[in-house]
Amino acid sequence: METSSKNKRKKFSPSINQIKVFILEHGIYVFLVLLILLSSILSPSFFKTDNILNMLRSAAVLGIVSIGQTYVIIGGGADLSVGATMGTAAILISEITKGENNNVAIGIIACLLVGVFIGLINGLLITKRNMPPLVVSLGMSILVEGARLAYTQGIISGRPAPFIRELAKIHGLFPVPLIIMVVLFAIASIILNHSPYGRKLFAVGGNPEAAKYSGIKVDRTVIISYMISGFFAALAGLVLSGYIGYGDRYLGTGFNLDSVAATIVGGTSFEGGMGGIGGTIVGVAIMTILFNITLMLGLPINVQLIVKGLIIIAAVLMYSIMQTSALGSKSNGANLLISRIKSKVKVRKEAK
Amino acid sequence: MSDYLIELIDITKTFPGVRALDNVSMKVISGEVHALVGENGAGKSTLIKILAGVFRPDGNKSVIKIAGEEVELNNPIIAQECGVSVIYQEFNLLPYLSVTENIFLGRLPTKKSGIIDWKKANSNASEILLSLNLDIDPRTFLKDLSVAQKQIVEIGKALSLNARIIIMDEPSAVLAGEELNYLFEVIRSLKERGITVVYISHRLDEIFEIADRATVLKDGKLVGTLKIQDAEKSELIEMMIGRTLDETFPKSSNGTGKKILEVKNISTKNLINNVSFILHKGEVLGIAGLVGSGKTELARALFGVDSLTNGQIIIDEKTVKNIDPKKAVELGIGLVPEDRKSQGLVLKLSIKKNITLPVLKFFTKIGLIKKNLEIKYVKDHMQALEIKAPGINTVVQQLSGGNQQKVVVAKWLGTNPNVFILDEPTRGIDVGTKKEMYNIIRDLAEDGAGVIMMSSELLEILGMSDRILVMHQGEIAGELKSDEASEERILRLAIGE
Amino acid sequence: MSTASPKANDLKQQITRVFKDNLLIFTIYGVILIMVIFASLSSPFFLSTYNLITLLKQATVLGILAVGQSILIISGAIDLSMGSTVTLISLVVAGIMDSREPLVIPMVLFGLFIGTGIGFIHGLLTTKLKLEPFIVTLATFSIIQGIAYAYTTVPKGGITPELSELLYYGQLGPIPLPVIYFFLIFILVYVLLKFTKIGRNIYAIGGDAEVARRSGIKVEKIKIIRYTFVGLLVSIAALIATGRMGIGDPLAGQGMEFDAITASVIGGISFMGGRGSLIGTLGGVFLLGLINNIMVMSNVNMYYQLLIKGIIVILAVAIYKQKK
Repeated sequence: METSSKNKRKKFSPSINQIKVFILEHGIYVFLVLLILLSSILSPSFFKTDNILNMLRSAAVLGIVSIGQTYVIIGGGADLSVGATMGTAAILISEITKGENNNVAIGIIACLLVGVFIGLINGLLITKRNMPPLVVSLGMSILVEGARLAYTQGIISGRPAPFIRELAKIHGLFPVPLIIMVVLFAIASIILNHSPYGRKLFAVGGNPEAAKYSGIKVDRTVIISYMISGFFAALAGLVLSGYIGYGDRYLGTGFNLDSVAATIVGGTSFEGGMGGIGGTIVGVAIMTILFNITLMLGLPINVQLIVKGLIIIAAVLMYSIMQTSALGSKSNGANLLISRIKSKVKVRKEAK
Repeated sequence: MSDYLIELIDITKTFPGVRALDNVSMKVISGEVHALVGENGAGKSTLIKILAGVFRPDGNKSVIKIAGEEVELNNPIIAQECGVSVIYQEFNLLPYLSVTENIFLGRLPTKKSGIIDWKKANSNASEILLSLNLDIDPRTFLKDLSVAQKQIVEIGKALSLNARIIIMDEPSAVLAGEELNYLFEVIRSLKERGITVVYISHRLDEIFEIADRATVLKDGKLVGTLKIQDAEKSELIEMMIGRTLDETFPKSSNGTGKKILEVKNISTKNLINNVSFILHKGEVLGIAGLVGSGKTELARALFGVDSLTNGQIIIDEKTVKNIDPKKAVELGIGLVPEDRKSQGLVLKLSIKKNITLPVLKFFTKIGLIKKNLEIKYVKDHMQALEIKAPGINTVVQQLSGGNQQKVVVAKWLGTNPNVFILDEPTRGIDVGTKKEMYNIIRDLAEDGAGVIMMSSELLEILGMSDRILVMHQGEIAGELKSDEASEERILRLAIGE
Repeated sequence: MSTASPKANDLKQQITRVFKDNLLIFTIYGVILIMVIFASLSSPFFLSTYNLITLLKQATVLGILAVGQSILIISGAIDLSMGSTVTLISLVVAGIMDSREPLVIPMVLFGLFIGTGIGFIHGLLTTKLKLEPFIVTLATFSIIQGIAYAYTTVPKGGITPELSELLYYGQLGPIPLPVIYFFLIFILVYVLLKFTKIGRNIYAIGGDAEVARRSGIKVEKIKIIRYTFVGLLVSIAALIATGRMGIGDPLAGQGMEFDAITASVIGGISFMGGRGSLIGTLGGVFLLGLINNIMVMSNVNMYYQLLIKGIIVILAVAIYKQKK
């Protein structure tokens, strides 16, 4: 009798488990769809063209900076200086172009170089001094902001060149920033998934020691990831300054956390060696829609901070459960969650 | 009431794909020094981890009795409460705490006010250590002690826990000469105090010197228990090995070719001191030595992980300057490192991505990896090494130890290495795969590579090598031809005699 | 056997050992000494009692936070949400109290409760759900700030002058009260870490949580207690900061978590965990306070102050190489 009931259970449970596993594994897509449905119910204006185009435009800026963040996190790090880099690029382009198109090429190149340089310093300090990435990149962000403040003496800079403003425009149904982001996304995906550098980055993030023993220059690989992040952050700063129309020291504020959140929600693991840009873009979409909902519901802007924090915790939790259940453990995700929350009752048989 | 302090009865333990212990029984008499012997992979570690409460045996048939009473050792703390203390090779000690704290970790004596009584703690620690003949300031950071001293601190910790049974996991693997004699003195003094010692080793001389009885394991099964007094060495060897060398190891066929690698007087900051040798095409050069003798460090130096402070590496008549791992790969050096999980593989990545990691440039056209070329390459190598896995995209974490090790070897096949270094190539893999691995190593040599094989398993060294170098404290202690080598001669060189 | 080993009761060797083990701390205080000499030579005002006391007084909030951060880093964790928590407590306590006498005690208690509660939640999230301290506190940094700003984004309310006096402006003899609070806390935590079981267990957990667990230490429990205690320290720091401002200040805690980390890093607390001493952290706090004081005294343009701070942080990071 006992065996037959066991068999029954075995036969029955996989289907439920499979559904659960499916939901867990494709959680963010399911979540995105639900979120879109929910938004359209909550606010009829959600699907209005204007709203969608605006969302796409702001998603594009977050998307660009998050692509770089994804590289860094896959490599086992984190870059909390992207916000400062964005703000610096925005001010620099305004300072160099002063609202004219004459110097725009030099301006853009200078901004990108500054971004790459900040990344280089980050990478050097993290690899050569073996300091935690968050301490280094936060420290760098203080240094960068300090340098910017010393340079501008607190005065808001002039306007960026008209060309930069074009970068943020919406032409008919085509928001230019989105096009920029899609192109960058395509290039970044190809590099990550089909180039030797991408492979090396995954290996270094997953196990730096093994990567070293395979003849990979670990430090160089990590440093490059921070330089890529700096590059994308500078680019995002340029687009953002075109959108805002002037250089402002608070311009990049919040993008540190937003880009980390989007990347993590998108399934890139903080442990390194896992994830991808495709997921990050879905993460960006989710973050953008959530922000949009809070706005449409008339909630104070700062509620977005709460949303950000909660979604980071939710995402990390979900992925850590998924990972545990994927790696050999028989229990499904839900049970795992329960067993984690309940403190394990230790069965102890005292030996005399 | 039986005379046995520990009774392990019908212990079985299965890991995914491997039966580590099969109905093993072992009984230890109170107050004796009981040796537990067997080759690597015989199941010694698994058995003591069960006794230590780290693993739980399978099923209900397995019974553990301590002092005649059945116990369930669900976790290490319970085992400790039952009086079992284990001293592992990787010590359970914290380098940045003082010796006193390490001994009394979590149990420091306090005054009534709740403040730790450092004076008492230090003097207690001193007392314990002095009783073990170790005179040091117990306030020293643990990291500043020698390996032998750390071992004594571990024993002291066990004593402070009122351990009745102290299990030592190959303590001699990291010791030699005078330090070893000192350890034996300590073990004898433990015995005088009535403490039972289970001593794991595969060095026969020691067992005959220190043990009262010995239990032999082989391939996860019990071979038998015998009294050392009545036993002959040859008897014990036969029990340990139980098969002749010819069965396991492929024959070396063709002679060796031209010189492919020459190492001249190299030294590193990491133990290696003035090492010189020559490697020929087609030969398997065995490197023997105790744990900590510098085998792994030599592998690291040759592969450029540790930089040279002195000396030269000459490959194909060309001197290599400032070798680093990347350059080593380009020069045709392949390394199967000692610890495959932390050094050989990126466990989260697929078989494909692991295998092609050192050779990505082979498939790269205009900066991108050519998918088809890569897949074909991986499939070919998986087939050649008979790697058993659902597919090329299987995550290596899900493979058995043996298959994982083959993936590590496969990483290097495509680089057509001239010099193939394998550091403990059969550690932690099952007997069947071991044999396959030996064939693979021999094939590599026959295909023209020079193979350097580091191993602490003497049998493997004797069976596989055309020539044997023995290391001791970072130096080459001697060289033996395969026909003049014996277990005893290697050991003598290894302990510095 | 013990030939090459450190022998007991050898005074000379003991002194070398103490010096060798604490080389970093000697260095920090050496640097501080040099800076003090430099500062007193360039300005006679520097060594005045008034200036030194002001320096200490202004360093108390950072000091308490740095002590908390050091406890966490020693045991292998971190708290990035300290600044937000300080802001939240400042806004809520002053905002609700609004200078009303009867609300003083309840609101002070409520302030302590907020910080301690947040610490407790951090403890739960990092143990029961096994989430990384870094990512958890990065998230709660945002959540707490969101809650604070949802309450108000402009300065709000106020505390009673008596409370302000008690928390920040009062003196016991010549010594300002906050300095006394700080040193009491410092000594308490120093004793806790060095002379109690729980303190030693905190070091053990930071050194190797697995070894600690196998030695019978209740790792999860201690991790939770530790975060909760640090939460209490954060709320005390927040109250003192509020006492200084007198009102609920939305910028009260801005950047403080990182200043606390910086002080710990300068003080030689290693991110590898399990080592480092509060004496070093104290040095880090003094050093940061000193730099601030010198910048103010020598009239450094406020727009350069952030840059100088950034340079110091990056220099500290670049100088201390963490061992693997």
